[in-house]
Amino acid sequence: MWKMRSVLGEEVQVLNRISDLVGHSNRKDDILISVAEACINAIEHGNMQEKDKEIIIEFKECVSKYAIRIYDSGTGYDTQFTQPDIDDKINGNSSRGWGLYLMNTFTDEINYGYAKDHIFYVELNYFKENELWERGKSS
Amino acid sequence: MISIRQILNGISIDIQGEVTKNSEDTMFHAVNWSEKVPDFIIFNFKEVSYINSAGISIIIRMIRTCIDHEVLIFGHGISTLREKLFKAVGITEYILFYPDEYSILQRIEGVNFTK
Repeated sequence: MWKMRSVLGEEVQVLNRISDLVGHSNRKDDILISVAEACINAIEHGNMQEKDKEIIIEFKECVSKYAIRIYDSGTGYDTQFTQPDIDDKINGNSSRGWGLYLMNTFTDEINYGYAKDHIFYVELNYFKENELWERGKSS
Repeated sequence: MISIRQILNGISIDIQGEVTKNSEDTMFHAVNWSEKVPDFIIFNFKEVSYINSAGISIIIRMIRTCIDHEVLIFGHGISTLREKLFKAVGITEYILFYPDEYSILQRIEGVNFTK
């Protein structure tokens, strides 16, 4: 478990720790991209960038998957999104709005919920089937 | 942090470190669009340690500006992680990626610039 303040950029230290833990996995890139966006959502939309509000990150690895939970101090945020279109964004619409899309694209399963004291969390799950298959193929 | 190198009639933007919300001013002041506009821009991502969604949006705005000024856009030095990210967003449709700067310059030699 790690804790960070609600300051943009602090997620990098968490990513470095997670990178050490999943360095052997072919899901590493997926995990790093999506956890980064989940942390940014927690900072910007969960805790509204109030820097002293804490964000907690839990990492679990079991036989079948990696599971990462990110808790913020907010009451939840809008998790609906439409797939952004780069052509629209190149042609003048706001170039932002990629966070939820990237988080969903690189994660196999996402759960949102509330822990004790109504603390909001997002749980990102990454299944290992592909990784095991790749290992079997190379052995 | 970025460094700018003049190459032929274009420039290389060598990006170091993180590309995030904080990079906006640095990235946009990399090119003086009111002066002589380069024929091409090469983005060198080799020393980039981190790009998030806000960084992606900055790159998209750079692409938009390049297209507005009819500037060819090339890139190199992307890791597998960055390649996945850029493909998911669609950036690879707008930036022509090559393995290295040498390959880009070979490609550029065959381009007839008629701006």
